[in-house]
Amino acid sequence: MPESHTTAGRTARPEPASAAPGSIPAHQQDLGKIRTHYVWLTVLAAMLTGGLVWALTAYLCERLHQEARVRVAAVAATIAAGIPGEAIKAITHRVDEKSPAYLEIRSLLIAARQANPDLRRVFALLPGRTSRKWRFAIDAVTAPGLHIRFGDPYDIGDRPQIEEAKSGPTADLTPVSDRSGSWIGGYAPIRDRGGRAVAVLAVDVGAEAALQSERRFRIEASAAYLILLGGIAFTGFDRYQKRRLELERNRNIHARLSIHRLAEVMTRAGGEADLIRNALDTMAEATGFPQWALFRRNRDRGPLALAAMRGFPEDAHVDLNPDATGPHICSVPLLEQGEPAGVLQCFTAAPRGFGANDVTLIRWLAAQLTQGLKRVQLESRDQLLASYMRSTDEMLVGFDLDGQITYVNPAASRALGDSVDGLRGRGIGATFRFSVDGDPSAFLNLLRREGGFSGELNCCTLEGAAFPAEVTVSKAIDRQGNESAWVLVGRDISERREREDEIQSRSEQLELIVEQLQHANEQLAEGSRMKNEFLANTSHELRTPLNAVIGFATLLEQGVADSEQERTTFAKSIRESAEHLLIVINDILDLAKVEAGRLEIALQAGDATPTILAAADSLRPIAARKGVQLKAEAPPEPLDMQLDPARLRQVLLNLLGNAVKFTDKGEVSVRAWREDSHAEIRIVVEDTGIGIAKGDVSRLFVKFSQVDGSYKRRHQGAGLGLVITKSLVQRMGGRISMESDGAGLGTRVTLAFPMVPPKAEPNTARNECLNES
Amino acid sequence: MPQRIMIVEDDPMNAKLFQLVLTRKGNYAIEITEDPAQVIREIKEGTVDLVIMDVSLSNSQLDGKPVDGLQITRRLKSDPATRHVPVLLATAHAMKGSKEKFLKESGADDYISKPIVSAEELLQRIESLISKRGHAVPPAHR
Repeated sequence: MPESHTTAGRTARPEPASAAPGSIPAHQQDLGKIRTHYVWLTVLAAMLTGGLVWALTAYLCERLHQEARVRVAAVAATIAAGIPGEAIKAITHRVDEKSPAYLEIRSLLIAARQANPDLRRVFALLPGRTSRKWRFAIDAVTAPGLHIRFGDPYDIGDRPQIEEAKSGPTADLTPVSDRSGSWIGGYAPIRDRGGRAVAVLAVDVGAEAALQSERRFRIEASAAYLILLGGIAFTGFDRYQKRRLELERNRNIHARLSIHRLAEVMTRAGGEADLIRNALDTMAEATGFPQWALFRRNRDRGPLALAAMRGFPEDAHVDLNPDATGPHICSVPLLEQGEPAGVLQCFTAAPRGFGANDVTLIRWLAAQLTQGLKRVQLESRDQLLASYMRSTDEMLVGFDLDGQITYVNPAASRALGDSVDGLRGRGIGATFRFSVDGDPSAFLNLLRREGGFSGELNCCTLEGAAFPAEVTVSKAIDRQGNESAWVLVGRDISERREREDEIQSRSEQLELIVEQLQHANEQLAEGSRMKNEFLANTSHELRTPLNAVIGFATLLEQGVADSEQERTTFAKSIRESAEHLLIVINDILDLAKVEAGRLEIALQAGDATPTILAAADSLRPIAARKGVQLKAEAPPEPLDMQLDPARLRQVLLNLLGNAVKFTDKGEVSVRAWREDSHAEIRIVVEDTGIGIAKGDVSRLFVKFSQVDGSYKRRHQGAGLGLVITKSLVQRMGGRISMESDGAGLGTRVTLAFPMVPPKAEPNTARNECLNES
Repeated sequence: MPQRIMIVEDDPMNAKLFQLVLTRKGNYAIEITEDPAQVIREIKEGTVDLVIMDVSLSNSQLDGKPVDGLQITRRLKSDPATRHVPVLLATAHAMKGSKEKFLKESGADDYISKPIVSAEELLQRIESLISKRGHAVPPAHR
């Protein structure tokens, strides 16, 4: 990823403002610089030593040369001293080479050369008029081609020692080498008798040996120097190593100290931000790397975002990137339960990047930071939990597997008793029970069996009171994953119960009201329906006899009747139908009065017996026509009650009329007696007729009622009689009930009126009289 | 041979009146009954040309159950063997809407309310119903 590398490289480069170079502690110095330092020191030492060795060698060589020069000059002087100067003076021309002087000198020279094997060439030089124009005089070499003749010019070059040789013996400063070997030139004056130098004797002394010894010396010196150099290099490296080790030791010590500090920071930090800031500072100190960045996820599975940075300018955060890699970035993931939850990045400006140790340390620090962050999270969660447990209204109760209470939060201690210590050690079964006086071990047994509980229980307080509570009990798992205890969470639900009860009773009330309303509504609807039915029925009951009236009247009018007898029959039919019509109309009017509450009743105390017997008498003929016997029974004593005789008669006629109407065989009876135990007069009308289905009995007292919605007419009449009857009975202070054992099994109607106490003398006397009889 | 009319009526006086009117003012043979089974049987025998049906019946039973005139008519009109005979409802139920309701419920052919003020109208209706239907011939005899 060259791009991110570049970015990171750029961000890594700027030196932090806080890290001034002078203030870097020793343990933070760059090892590379120290290495450079020691390399330079070593080189310097090597150079110094080299110079010294060179100077010593040069000096010693010079001494050797000087000795050689002295020796060569002495050789030249010795030979020159043996050569007569006058003889040289005698030779003036090239032709004089044959002259005895020349030959004498040459033989002297040859002899000298032969005497000293080191001598390679021996010759005499004649100084010219100018110092430059020297000439050969005599050469010891005689071989043709090599021999240099008298008078040949000789270039002395830059050898002032030749010129100087005129005043005393000299030598070449350094050996000279050419194809024929190496030598040193020695020069000495050849003087005449007067002591004047007339020529210079030059000898070339072989210098191979000297040079060879010099070379050997130089080699030895070089070898010695190399050995020295090795020593120097070793020393330098050794020093560097020691320094480095010391530095690393310091650094390790420091890192370790910093790590301890980091650990301390981790445990002391107040919050996450505090922890991260302090941790980054400490990590910078521990590693010496000043620039750090920390990326974290803001939420689960969210993207990594910059959480903190250190050693960067404020605006650097835009360039920081959790995915950046490169030799100058050490990027370590922070793992939480194996999931990457963040990235710690460390930056270095060192050209070579991070060393393996650095990476290890940074990884370790990242792990520490992860631990610290986790601890802070746990702590904050613990604090939350603790404050929740302190302040919640829910009871929290911890108890061990044996059911002994080990923890209660303030809410629980408030609810269960004031003393926390009093609750500790109390059995859970004594505190929470299914029923207040139930088995104390039942709850724990259930928990063991079911592995938990959720529901309502009774809480028994230390004071012996009890209240209902809704609780949830679950197992508490310790760090080793063992089920070590139970945790109960519960709340007092007495108020809720009360509220629920109240709501319940209110809702019951409401239901009752709704029911009543529905009932009233139904009654209204039923009333309306029955009113319509009544109208329809009434209309029908009026129209039916009217049909006969009109029909027969029309027949009469049109003279359809074929005899006088038939005409009479028609007229009788009209009359009977009209009478029926009248009964219907009277019923309707009575009912209207009942409805309006205007039924006239004139109550007076009296004996009911005559009315009863009269009513029976008036219906007996009708019954007789049907073949039904009508019996009437009354006691001899008077049936004293409050009554309107006309209305009572109407009531009895209606009841007996119905009884006769619905009885085709058997008998109809009316019986009356005094029910002294109830202080009532009872009148019962009974028949052996068609009876009434059980469910229909009560409907008969409801006005306009019809047993079903069809048009079956079970019996003629508007069906108003019983309604009117009931109303009349009630107006007379009585009550009416109807019984039937079912359809076809007859009907029994019972009237009960309050007995009027015997009043005044005559009645009493009569009663006594009757009792006597 | 006079056409035969069956009168289903529980009120004896009204039944007698129908009989008088229909025999004296019209030329019909009359059979009065409260028994639906008899009506069905005679229609099937093909001896009935028209049925005058009261709605409120106090003593009529069919299959052991009390029935009213509407139920009997419905039974007649639902059976292909009896539906061809016209049924005239004659009832004192004469509230508003009764006619439509009864005709719809029972499938009867016509309706006349009691009290019947005009015997002529009754006869005319009967004649119209019978002539519309033609002679009383049960489908089986065709």
